[in-house]
Parts: sequence; structure tokens; C-alpha cells
Amino acid sequence: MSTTTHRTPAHQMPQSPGRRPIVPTRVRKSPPKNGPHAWYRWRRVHGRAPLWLLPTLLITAVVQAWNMAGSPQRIDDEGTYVAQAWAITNLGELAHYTYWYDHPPLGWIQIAGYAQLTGAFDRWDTSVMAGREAMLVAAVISTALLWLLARKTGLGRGMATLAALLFALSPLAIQFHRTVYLDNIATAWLLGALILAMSRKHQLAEFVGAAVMFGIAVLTKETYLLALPLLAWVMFHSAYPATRRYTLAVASTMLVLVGSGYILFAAVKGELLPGDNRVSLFDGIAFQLSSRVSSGSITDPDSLINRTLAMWWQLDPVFITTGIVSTLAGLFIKRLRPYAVLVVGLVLFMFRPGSYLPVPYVIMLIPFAALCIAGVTSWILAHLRRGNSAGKRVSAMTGIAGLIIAVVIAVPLWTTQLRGMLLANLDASTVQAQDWITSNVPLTDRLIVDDAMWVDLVKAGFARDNVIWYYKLDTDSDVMDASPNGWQDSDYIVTTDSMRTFPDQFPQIAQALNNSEIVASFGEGFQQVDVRRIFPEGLAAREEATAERAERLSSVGIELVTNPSLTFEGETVSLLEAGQIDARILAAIGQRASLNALTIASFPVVHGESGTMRRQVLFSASDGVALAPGSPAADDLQRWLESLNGFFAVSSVTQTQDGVLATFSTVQPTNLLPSR
Amino acid sequence: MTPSIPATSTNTNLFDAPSGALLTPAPEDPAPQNVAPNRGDPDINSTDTSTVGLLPDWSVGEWLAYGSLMLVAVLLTAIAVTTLWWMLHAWRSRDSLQRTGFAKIPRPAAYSFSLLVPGRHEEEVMGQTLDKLAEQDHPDFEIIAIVGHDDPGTEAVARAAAARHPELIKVVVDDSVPKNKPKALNLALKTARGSVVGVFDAEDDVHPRLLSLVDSRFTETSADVVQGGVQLMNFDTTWWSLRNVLEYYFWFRSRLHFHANAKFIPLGGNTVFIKRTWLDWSNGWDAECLAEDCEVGVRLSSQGATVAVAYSPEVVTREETPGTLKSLFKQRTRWNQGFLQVLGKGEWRKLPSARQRLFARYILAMPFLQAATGLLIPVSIVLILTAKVPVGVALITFLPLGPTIVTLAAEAAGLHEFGKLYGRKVRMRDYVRLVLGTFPYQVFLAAAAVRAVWRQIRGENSWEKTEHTGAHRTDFAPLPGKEPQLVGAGHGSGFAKEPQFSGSAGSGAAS
Repeated sequence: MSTTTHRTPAHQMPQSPGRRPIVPTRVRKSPPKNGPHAWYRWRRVHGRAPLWLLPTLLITAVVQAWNMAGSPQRIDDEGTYVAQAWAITNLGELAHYTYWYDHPPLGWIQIAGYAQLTGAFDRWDTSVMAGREAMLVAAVISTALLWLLARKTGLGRGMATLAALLFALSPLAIQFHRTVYLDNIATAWLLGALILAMSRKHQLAEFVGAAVMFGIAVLTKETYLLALPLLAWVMFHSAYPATRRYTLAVASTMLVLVGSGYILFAAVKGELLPGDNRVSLFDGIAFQLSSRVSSGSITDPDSLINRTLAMWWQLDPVFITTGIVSTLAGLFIKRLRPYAVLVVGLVLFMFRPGSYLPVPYVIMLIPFAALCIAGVTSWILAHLRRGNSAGKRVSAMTGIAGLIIAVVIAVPLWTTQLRGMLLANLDASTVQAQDWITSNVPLTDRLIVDDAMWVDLVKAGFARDNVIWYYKLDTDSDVMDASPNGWQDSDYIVTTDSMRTFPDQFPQIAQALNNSEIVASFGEGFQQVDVRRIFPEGLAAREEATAERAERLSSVGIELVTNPSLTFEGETVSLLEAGQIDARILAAIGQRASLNALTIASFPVVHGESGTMRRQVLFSASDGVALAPGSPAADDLQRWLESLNGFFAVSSVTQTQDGVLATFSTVQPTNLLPSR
Repeated sequence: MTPSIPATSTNTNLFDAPSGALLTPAPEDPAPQNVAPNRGDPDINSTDTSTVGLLPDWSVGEWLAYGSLMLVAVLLTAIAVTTLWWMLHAWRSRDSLQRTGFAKIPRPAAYSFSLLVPGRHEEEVMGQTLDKLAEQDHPDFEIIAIVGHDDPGTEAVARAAAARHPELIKVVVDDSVPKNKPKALNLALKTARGSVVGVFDAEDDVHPRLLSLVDSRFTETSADVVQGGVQLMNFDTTWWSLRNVLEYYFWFRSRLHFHANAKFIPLGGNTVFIKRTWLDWSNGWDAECLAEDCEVGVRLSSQGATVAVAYSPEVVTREETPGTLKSLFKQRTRWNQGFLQVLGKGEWRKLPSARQRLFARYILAMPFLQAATGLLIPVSIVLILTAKVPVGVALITFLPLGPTIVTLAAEAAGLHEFGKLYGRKVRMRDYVRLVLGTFPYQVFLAAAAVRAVWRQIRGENSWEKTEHTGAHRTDFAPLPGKEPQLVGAGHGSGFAKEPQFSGSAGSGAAS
């Protein structure tokens, strides 16, 4: 038994301390703790770990980073978290709208910290991608931690690597790990907490660390509180009985303290309990627990829960099936049991009646399912080689057959999915829609948008109040006050899949959709993003006016076609006669025709627009001379076009190989034409 | 800019141009009205996309006020966290807990022991203490009882005990004036023949195997000093005795081991064993110091003497808390003043490393840091409730509450363990007392610290005796009832018998 003292060799005892002041100096003989000695010992014990871990992390990073801006298409939630992170560093506030305790803020505080430290917001044109970069970091950390956890659970290096690679490479995992979900950050903290909870060396400090990390996980994403029984189980199991009383008491108190920090924060802000005209923590929790719309019944094929499950299933049926089977098997393997119980518990929790199933719920399941798959694989391999009973050998045989089938099915499925994730640019439509808006919508206009583009539009120069996250128009009193007429106070609404999914939930948005028409549309299917012009006077009145205008434009167009100094090529004549050409173009052509004979080659459609109304004109020749770029005729025409002002002003004139292209703004002034 | 939806605008018609020309650009028109109804007037430039500064935008006054508030909060938290960590030192890992105990099987005896037992107005307990000491199973030891010449009662009891064990017990009469404990010890040291000198108090309840275990500890660790565990037992007497008992528990069970590792240790007043050679070197104890045990510990530490600490519940020396809150208050004042004296004396400056010196300074000043801690917490709560401070500042001022609550949880765990170890029933009532007593006890400790400073400044350094009733001896027949005699301050008689803590060992330490 060792003792509490610093050791001193007996021969160095004081020889004659009686004779003062002779007191011998004492020499330490123990080897220094640091230095080459410790390094060699570390290398001997852990030297092979990096050989497995580093390539795994490299693969994780490369696969996740490759095309992470292209797939999947960014969604509203991502935009919200990134906008909230952006608000912290750029507005000094916890959210871009009033923070209302919907989630604890620690998740996007971490994203904000990452972005601030690395300058991520400056690095990307699309702000959400700064958040995805933070997710990349979180995923790499989580992969490393899962590897360590697998090792602590007793798996060999190879099997730990299998768990880590499943976690990193399953298409289901990649899709969700790339998406800016707070769950991805919480996963890293949870895994860290579990590793510390399994510590044996400095248990008090490490349990405290585990409790704090778990607290951070929960304050990052509140659903991670569901893992508390797992952590408690692991911690209790590894706690030494002699010190357990203290280690567990201190650790649980720390966890409570971290959680109380959030409550204290609300209390200090005076937002703990509900009150008139203010947000409160109580309301936020009540909303999450009771007010969330149920995801519907599992028996209803159109219910939200089924759509969510179908989405998961479509991404990786093999991982899900293997994961569930392995988890059930894991219940019978002692060292896997806590994790298997967690997965089973989470899955059962998911199916409770009337539940609200968040789409990213699966993120918490992925690492533990991967761990169970690797653990069961390890068990199978061990019992194939030295199965000590017939029953176990048969189980192992069945298991290996199942695994082989899984691999055979997985290879083509994963290949297809991964190819899509590494190559497809699913976010292009959103980017194009944003580009269309920034180049065609005046900065004074007000837009109702998906949060996915909120930061980008604000950075592009729109006032914060003029970029309205669609969710807020029906829920945030400040936003409602700023738009007393509701949807009628906005000029555009930009729709994405998430906005089209539940229009009925948001009456103002439904109205805006019903009283608007698409002016530009990008992508198709789930990726489709529409920019719609809102008509405050109502769509019916608008359509009437449009029909009337078309008639007038048509009559002017027919007149222009007869003008002898004008030559119209291709389909231009039919477009003019159909009344599809902007009044300002008609005016410009008519005016210019009095100076030169012009050839109009086409009325090109602006990318994204339908072409029912053309606002571009391409002049190919003037007085019979082709308008080559840089030619005097082209310069002269450009100057003349640019000199148009007032309602007739062009928004841009460019000289192309085919001639001079003039573009007018999206909104043509009404009543420029005579009525009949 | 392009006008937005001029829904109701009535512009000049392009085609009404007087020239009759087909298309003549119309003159600039007044901006269409009702561009967008009632949308307010969002200021385009209102969005400040520049990064918000890392530092808040405060005035100088605010910086001073908030800054000092936060600084105090952070300092208090740091003190509370270090105290908490030391308090839990023994339980930080399984190995460290194992290191805190005596050996399971002691090694053969290698030293001879002289046990010094000073007693002053202690006739009710001293006889029994001496008899129990005489039961030690060690082969080579002597007991020296020191009594005052003006205290015939105690002397009679001591002589009776010596008559019962003539070969083990000697009685020495101290006729110095005024009397104090270090003088008594120094006097006995002259006649002590053992190679190790141990000190016990007159009311100590000592386990018969202790000496053998201590002897073994000397051999195992080649230490120069061995400090054994002392434990107050009567946690269920009053709310403050509960706290006092826990202080002892955490101090001897855990924190003292940390001090031994850090090579700066304020020794306890009893169950302490020092090699004779070192005592000769130190000239015994400092008779002028109110905390002579702490003082000698500091001097020995500064010369590199090694101290081993051991606490095994079964052989711990059992004691009782002072009889009244008032005497506990005096006792605590005396310790704190003793610490101040040691700090002032500056022996700790001779400690070999800067780290040790810093540590010594921190430990010796601890009662006063704690006094500040205890007093500042209510101040910050009042500030938060009355003054409007920014959310971040308010949150930071709550920081010291964290370690306080963790300390409370650890104390509850300690109380539970104490009950299990010593077979005492801990009731719900005791846990409630523990929680409710936290703040009052903190105030109590702070008051004792303030009083110590006050006395030290005034130059009052008389001994204030702590009296005992034998409440810890529940296993024994009740002692002949006699009201504890209070020996007031300034009497110059009676002396201390308790180990000295730097502040509270654990309980209440963190608030």
C-alpha cells in the first residue's frame, strides 16, 4: 500500500538535525513525468491507434467536405441556426428575431464561436455553408470520439474503425451530418461525456467533466436529455464503490448546475415565467412539450412521421435494418447493452402516440447504432473462430450470413447515394433564386423568405426588417407590428419546399401564396425555388389588369410590326402580337426607330422567368450594320438606351456577339399604354 | 430605383404626348403614392453588418463597477473551487483514497514513543484518557501527563492514573505563568525519552492499535512527521456541531493529505507524531504562538521535513465539539489569530520553492479570504436584485454559487458516509440542518475571522480555552456531571487542544 507523502530514500534522512541549522536537502529520484520517457511509454501503449484513427478521420473529412455546399439542398432549419449564430456575432443578440426559448442557445453560440474564430462567414458566399463547415468539424470530432468510445467499450481497433466508418459514411449519416442541425454538435458532447464516464483513473474530475459535457450536449439540443439514463448507467457501472458516493454526488450536482445556468439566464432576463407581451422559458418549454403538432399516426401513410421515416429509409435502408437487428442482438451482449438499450428506448420513444418526431431525431441514433453493428460484428467474428457452444456458433453463422447479405445490398445502394452526395448540386436553385433577387429586386422591397437565404439577403443589403422569415409573419408580434397589413405589406415571397409543405399552418403565408404569381422559378421538384410577386390588391384584380394590359400591349405590338424601319426576326413578331413584350421595350423600339432602322433579333427570357412577359430585347443590326461589340453603332445604341430615364430606364445594357442586349426591371409601370 | 407596384397611380400617359409621335418618353413623374401600404420605414442602413466588438460598450464608470463586481465573483469562485477540490482530494480516484489510510497489516515496531498529554481543568476526562492510552499495544512507549501547579483536581486524577500504570505514565507539573499548551509541551519534552514524540489532548479517545500503525507508517514512508486522524463525533447535538464535525471529517480524511502532498502542512494539535531529532532542531514548540502546532508544522515544512498523513476510521482519535457556540467562536478566533501570527512570523518564506511559498501564503490567509467570500455573496445578490446590471455580468456574479452548491452536495455525501463509517444514524433532520446551516455557519466563520483580525491588531493574544464534556464518549458510562467551566479570554490560563484548520476544512468552505 502506498502512502500520502513524498518519498524520500531512507539514507537521506537528516544525519544530525539536532545541530542547527543543518538540515539536509532532499533530492527527488523519481523520473520526471514529462519528457521523452513519457512519450515512449505513450507510444508503446497507444502507438497503433493513430494508424487506424487518422485515415478514418481523413476519409470522414474528405467525404463530408466534398460537395457539402451542393448536397443536400439547404433547408429552413439550417438557415435559422446560421442566422441565429450570425446574429450573435453581427448583431450582438441571441437570434435574428426575438429569442423565445424554443431551443437552448448553446448550439448556435458554438457555431458563432467557430465562425468568429475562423472567419467562416467571410469565406462562403452562402452563409449556411459556414454552418456546414462547423458541422464538418463536429463530425470529425464525433468520429474520433466514437472510435475512442468503441475502444473503451472493448472493441478492437479494426472494429472501432468499422463503427467510425459506418458513422461517417452511411448516406443517412452524411446527409444529416452535413445539414446544420444542432444535434450534430450535441452528439460530440454526448460521446465525450460517455468516454469520460467510463474513466477509471481520475474518476472524480472525469465524472465532473462528463457531467459538464452532457450538460452542454443538452443545452445544445434539448432532446439529448433522453440519453441521461445511458450516461447514468455507464457512470454508475464504472464508478468505484468506495468513492462513488462523492463522484456521483458531485457529477450529478454539476449537471444540475449547468442546467440551472439556463434557467438562471432566463430569470436574470426576467423571462422565466409567462407574462404579458414577453417571451418566457416556461412558454418555450410548454411549446416544445405540448404545443408541437403531432407527427401523425404511423398507420397513416401520409402522416409526417411516415414521411420522415420514408426519408430516412430512402437514404440508407441497409444501415437502418442492420442497425436495428444489431441493436436487438446487442441487448444480449453485456458491453453493448447500455447503448443497445438507448437505441431501443429512443426508437420506442419515437413511436409513442401523438409524438412529434423531429426530422434530425435520427442523428442521436446513428453513432450508437454504428457502435452496435461493430460490436455485434466483433462478437460474430470472435465466435466464428472459437465458438464454445453450438448455439453460439449457429448464431455467429447466421450473423455472418446476414452481414454478407447486408454488404452485398449496401454496395450498390451506397454507391448510388454517395455519388449523388458527392456530385449533385442540389442547392443550385436556391443560389440562383438568390442571385435573381439580388440583381432584380430593389433593396427597398420587402420579401418573405425561407430562413435558408435570410443572412445572404441581409448581407446583400436588404434591411433586416425587409427580409421576413416566413415563420415569423404569423407568430412574432414585432414582425406583425411592422407589417400591419400582413402579407400585403410585402412585395415578394420566395417559396421553397418547406414553405410549400404546410401553407395552412401560416394564414398570412397562405394568403401571400394565393395572391402572388411566379416571376422567376428555379429547379424542380423538392429543389424548386420560386420567386413570387405579391399583389396586395388581390390576384383576381391583378389578373384582370394583366389581361387588359396584354390587350393593349398587343395592339401596340401589332402597330410596331408594321413600322417599316423595324425588322423583326424569328418569333419576335408573334410575341409582339401576343402582347408579351414589356411596354418599356415597345416604347424604346418605337422611339429609336425614328433615328435608325433596327433589326430586333429576339426578346430573350431572363433565366428563371417563365417568358410570358419579356423584359429583354436584343438588337442585332442598326441601319443594316451588324451591332458587333465595340462598333460605333453598338456604342451609340448603348448610350442612347442608357440615356432613357424615369419609368423607361433600362436596368442594364450589354454588348454581346449577337448584338446589343437591353434589360428592363421586373416590374413594368402600369398605365404606360393607352387604354382602348 | 424601380417603383414598386404603383397599383393606383395615375401616370401621364405615354401616348398622350403632344408631339403625336408614337413614343415619347414621359417627363419624370412624382413618385407613385402608396408604394407599399403602412409598412413603416425600415432604415436600409439600420442593419449593421459589421462585427459586434468583443468588448461591451460601457462607460468608464460602468467598466469600474461591473469590472470589480465580476472580478470579485471570479476570485470568490476560484477560492471556492480550490477549497472544494482540496476537500475532495481523497476521493478523486480509487488509488488516492487507498493511500489515505493506515496499512492493513502494520510492520514490526521500530521506534520508541513518548506521548505528551497536557491537561488543564480536565479532571473529568483526563483519567480515562490516560487509562485508554496505557492500553496501546505498542511495545515501547511512555505517557507524560502535564498538569498545572494551580490545578490540583486534574493533578490528582493524573497521579491516580500514574499509580495504576507506574511503568507507563509520568506526571509533570508545570508552574509557569501564564500557562499555555506549547509551554506545557516544551516542559514535558525535557523528560521525554522516546525517539518519536506524540501529542494528545486530555479528552482524546485513542484507539489501542494507533501507535503500532503510526510506527509502521514512519517505516513505510520514512516520514519525519506522522499526522493521524482526529474526528469530532457529536454531529447530532446542534446545527453547528454538525458542521464542525464535517469540517473535521473532510479535513483529516481528505484535505490534509493534499497538504502533505503539497509539502506545506499546518499540523493538527493532537494525534501528531514528530521525530525527536526534529523537535530538538525546532526547539520544541513556539510558546508565544496561538497556533503552535501549525507553527511547528510550517517550520518543519520549510526545512524539508516530510509529513505523512493517515486516516483510518477505525483508529481515529475521537473528540467532541466545544460545548457552546460561544466557545467554538473563541476557538475559531484563536486559530485564525494563530494563522495570522504564523503568516506574520514569516517562517514560511524559507519554504524551498516559490510554489510552496505561494501556497503557504494562500493557506494562511484563507480564513480571511473566506470571511470576504461569505460576506460578499449577500452583497452581490442584493446588487443583482436592486441594481440593473447587464445579463452577462449578473450571470457571472452568480458563479460562486456553483461551487457552493457542489460543496453542499459533497457534504451531504460526507455526512452519509460518516454515518455509515461510525455506525451513527443520520436522519433527514440532519440533512436539513446541513443545508440550512450553510449560510449561518459561513457568517459565523466570517465573524470569527473578523474578530481574529481585530484582536491581532489590538495586540490581544491571550488564550481562550475550549472546554469539553465528554460528549463523544457515548460508549462509556456518563461522566460525573460537572458544568463545563468557561475560561474567559485574558485569563491567561487553559489552552487549546484542537487541530487547526486553515479556515473551515471543507464544510461551508466554498460559499
